[in-house]
Amino acid sequence: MPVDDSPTAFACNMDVALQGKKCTYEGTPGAASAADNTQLAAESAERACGDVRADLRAQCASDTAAAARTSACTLEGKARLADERGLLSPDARGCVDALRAALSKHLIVEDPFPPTRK
Amino acid sequence: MKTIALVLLCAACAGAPLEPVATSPTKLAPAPRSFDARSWVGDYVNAAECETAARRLHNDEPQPGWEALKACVEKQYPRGSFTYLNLVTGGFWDEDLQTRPDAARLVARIIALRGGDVEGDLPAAQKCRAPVFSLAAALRQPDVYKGRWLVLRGRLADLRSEGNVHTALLNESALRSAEREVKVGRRFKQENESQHSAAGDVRSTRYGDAAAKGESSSSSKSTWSEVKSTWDNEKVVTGRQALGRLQQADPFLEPNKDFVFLARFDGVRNNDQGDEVAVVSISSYFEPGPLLIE
Repeated sequence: MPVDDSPTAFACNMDVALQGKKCTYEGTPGAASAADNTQLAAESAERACGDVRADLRAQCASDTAAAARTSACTLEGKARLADERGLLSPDARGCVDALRAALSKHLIVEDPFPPTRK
Repeated sequence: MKTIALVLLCAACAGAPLEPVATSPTKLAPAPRSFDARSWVGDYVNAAECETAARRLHNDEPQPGWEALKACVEKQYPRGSFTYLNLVTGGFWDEDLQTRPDAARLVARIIALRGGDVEGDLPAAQKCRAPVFSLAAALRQPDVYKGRWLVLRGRLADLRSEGNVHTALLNESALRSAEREVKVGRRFKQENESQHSAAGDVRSTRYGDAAAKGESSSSSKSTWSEVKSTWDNEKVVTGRQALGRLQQADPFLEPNKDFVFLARFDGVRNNDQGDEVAVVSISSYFEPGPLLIE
């Protein structure tokens, strides 16, 4: 019987993975440049930093950009993080972990009930 | 005018070669008889008799015989469902189970009707080389099982839709027998309670006065009865997961409810924990029968 190799609805892209949602790495592995990998990681992380408290955003962007330049994300140019469809390949797991570690330092929840001033 | 037409007809006949005239009526090929399995199965009130009748029919006409067997399996009898996996996998139907495209569905259906013990029933189907396999085997050797039918028992953990792609995350479950003690017969209960107290007062001229007081109490309770060991079927989660493609989001596929799935194995993916998850295309699913048949 022919098999269906198309991605499922649980396929990870960088945004979904950085949100910490349950997903699977279904992208097709392939060759890429270290610069492309860093760019994808840094741009996605910067978007994720948008959820961080306003006064911590700049530091968040700086920390995640540094993580995006590590070998976990560049993959030393030997493999790509995501395929043409934006789906993360199994090689991207280390990068997601590194970016989430950098993000988590800044994810401080804003007080949902700030003190009211009279 | 009539004369002219007759002359023209005779002129046309003169040029045509003469064909031999058939002396007996032409035998026409029999039109394929449509077999109505639904009405055929109505004559049977017993699942085993129905299967035997399907065999008889199969001996003369294999296709209606197979349709009859399928109807036997789908029918609800006064004394329950069709649960005779041993009759189907006993040898007579082997060729059909090995070659017919709908054989995998029939096997999955019977396993569900028998209570959904996939681990217990699948070996019987495999003994007669019916091409149905387990999730465990597929995850161990993905390349060998790609494109093959899996029968798995599982429950829906999550359902996600991206555009027109609908995927169910399934947690595989299995049945295990667990021992339990059940009280039988008469029960006895004994309760004892006792309390003692004593007090003494001694007076003497030589040794002086002395007083002593003591108290004690005790209580005990005991119950006893005869117990008997029974075995229950417990559902356990195996830890194996599958992502099941669905044609559409199905409201009858309720979360945290066990189903027996028939699905084509498409391969393996890694999840965010680094664990392997099977990817399957769900063809059909059945609610397992409430009673487990061994």
